[in-house]
Amino acid sequence: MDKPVKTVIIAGGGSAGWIAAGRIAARNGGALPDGVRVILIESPGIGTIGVGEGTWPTMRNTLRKIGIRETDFFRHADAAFKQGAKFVQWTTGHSSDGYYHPLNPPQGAAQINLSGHWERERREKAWRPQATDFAYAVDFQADLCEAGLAPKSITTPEYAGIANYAYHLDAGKFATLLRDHATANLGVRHIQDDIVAVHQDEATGDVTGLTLKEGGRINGDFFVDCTGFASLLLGKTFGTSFIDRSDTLFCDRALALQIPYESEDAPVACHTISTAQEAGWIWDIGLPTRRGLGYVYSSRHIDDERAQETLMRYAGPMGKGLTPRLIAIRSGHRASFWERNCVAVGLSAGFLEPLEASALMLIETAVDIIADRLPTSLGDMPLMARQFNRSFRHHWDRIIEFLKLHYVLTKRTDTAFWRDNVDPASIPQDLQDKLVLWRCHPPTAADFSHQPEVFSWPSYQYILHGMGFETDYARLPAVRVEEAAAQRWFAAADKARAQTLRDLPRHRELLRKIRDYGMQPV
Amino acid sequence: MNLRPLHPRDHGRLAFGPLPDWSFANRQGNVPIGLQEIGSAIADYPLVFIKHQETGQFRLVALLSLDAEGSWYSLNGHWQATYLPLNIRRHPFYLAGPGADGATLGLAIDETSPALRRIDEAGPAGEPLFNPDGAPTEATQRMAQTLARLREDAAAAAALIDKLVKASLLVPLSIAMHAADGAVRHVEGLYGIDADALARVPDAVVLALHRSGELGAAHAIAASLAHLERLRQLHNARKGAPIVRLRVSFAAH
Repeated sequence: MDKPVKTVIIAGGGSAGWIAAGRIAARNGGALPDGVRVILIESPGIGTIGVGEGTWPTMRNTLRKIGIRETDFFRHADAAFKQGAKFVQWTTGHSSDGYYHPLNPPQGAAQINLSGHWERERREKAWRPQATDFAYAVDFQADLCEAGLAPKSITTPEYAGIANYAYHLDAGKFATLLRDHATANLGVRHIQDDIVAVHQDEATGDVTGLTLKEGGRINGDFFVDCTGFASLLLGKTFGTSFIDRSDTLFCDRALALQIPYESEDAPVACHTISTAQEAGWIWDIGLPTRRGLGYVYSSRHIDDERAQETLMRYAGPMGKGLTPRLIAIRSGHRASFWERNCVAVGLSAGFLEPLEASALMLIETAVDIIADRLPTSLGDMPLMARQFNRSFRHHWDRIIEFLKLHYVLTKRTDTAFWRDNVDPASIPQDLQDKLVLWRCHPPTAADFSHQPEVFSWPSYQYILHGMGFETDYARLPAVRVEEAAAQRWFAAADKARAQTLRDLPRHRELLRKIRDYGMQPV
Repeated sequence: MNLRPLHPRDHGRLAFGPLPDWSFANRQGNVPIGLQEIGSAIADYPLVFIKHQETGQFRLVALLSLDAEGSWYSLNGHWQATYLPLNIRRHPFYLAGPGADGATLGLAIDETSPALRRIDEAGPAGEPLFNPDGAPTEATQRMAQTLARLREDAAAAAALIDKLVKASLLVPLSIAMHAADGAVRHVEGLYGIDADALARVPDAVVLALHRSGELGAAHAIAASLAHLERLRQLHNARKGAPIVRLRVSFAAH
């Protein structure tokens, strides 16, 4: 008999568990008498990893779909705006070395590919010095970041922006906000208990229920594994193998630290600052309340003590007396993410260094599929699982390639870490092939097969050109044919730059106004 | 404008009103109104919501023009309306800020206002601000009461706005002004109550708004948009290129 899906059980809380609970319940009538029942089981003893503190712009849609007002999100998750990332000292390691990967696509991205035009302009014209950088030439957002301005003003409606934006947030407070909303408004049942046993149907292998330490047995039809590194269902129960990708991405440790600002009105960076180090890189994430720092490094290249020294030096006087937290990480992912009636979301599916904030984005991408097309019966599952696994193997491969791109374009040779990173043996073949192609043709949508692709072609352009990848686009026919159109888009970037630099408020000022007054929904 | 705390030492020899002309109000494209004023203001003005530039909070305003240049109700030295919002009539009085110690009746005054004149000056007498003993006159006390009422009424309007926002009834207004030569200008930043959305509000919300008297206010505000046509006519009675057509719609959201 084909058993209908009436009860969804989410094993584990954290960002993954509560995003899954919120989205599934909001989309499938969790609060209605005949809707899908959503139950989240969270172990009171297991903490969250909580280093996923940078989001993608997709989070705006996720929050809206869950039904949380953006004002409440800012107030309760200590959130700040994020307009992209600045990569410092990744290319040469010199003090002046830095480039932006903004969240705005290049101007006119839907109509024109500006890479070749930028290359020609840079060669032929005396641009203002900054505009020799791709991000500054094709868009205005890098200037906003550099000026410390917000992507919108207090009169801009919730979830709307003048420039594209994502968030920095306090992961612990974020999970609490999601939990309170899901349990109060979306009908999600929250059980705090330890899972001590997993029960499977002997014939099919489907998970039928879980035994809890205090609460006895609880049965469900569909299970979402948000148990983090433990990977209780996919890893332990189904024995899905873990594919280690540390041959490509070397970092296997993170030291995380939170430091206060020097003063209450110190500027809040409106972008993630990623500064390359001798054996990895340091993230620097500004919330209104504190800065989150972390050194992601390869223990094969330096020891923990040396890493801690480096991080504390970066933190400066405000880090005095504080001790960072060590987190062991393992780059890689499960061979499959959906088995029978169980799907892994979050760290139970895999982990990659947080270089491009892919952790929360992967949670959202998975939950979009699960919530928007919840299986109606166990019979749906095999096909959906196959589709899901195919998509996510693709996504993990593309993300790994995109992260590796940041390393392979380096010209640094000062340490073994950077020299090892350009060893062809560590570079996926697909990426090597694309790099050959991209010497003569700028990245376009045609380079990628999935719709939508998690990192789209503009992101590749920002990294390639930001890191001074040598290109030869001058001969491309389009560069001549579309010259007038390109000039219009460069002019559009200039106009938007002048206007936004004049009109937009300082980031901290807007955060203060959101706290004091709130934003309007329209 | 030069606001100073009201004090007999500085203002003992001054009288106020009537205004010689409307030039001060001509600089205003809109004027905030309170909840109790809605019933009177709908006789003359389109009532809309705009966001305060500093706080992003909505305010209920009577629209005086569709550009930033000033009021279209002021024509040939006359104000073309039967009702004058309190926020204009209170001129030149303001509430003194919390830091202004010793302000008489908590008031401040715009010393540059054309409504002020010296008591000994020739011309219309006006109302003295202070009695010879330095106490505020009855006229000044009435203005203090008016301003207190204005503040309460603005708070009542804010409470209504809060409910309208919660019920998703405030919608961006899209207004396109068509000139004779085909040029179109768009007016940004105005919000109105969508009557269709009002009709879809859940029963419980409708009943609560009705009992509090706010449902009538909401309908009055929605209906007041008919005065946009009056604004167009007032505009066209002035010099300059006429607006041949106004297209008003609610932005989809």
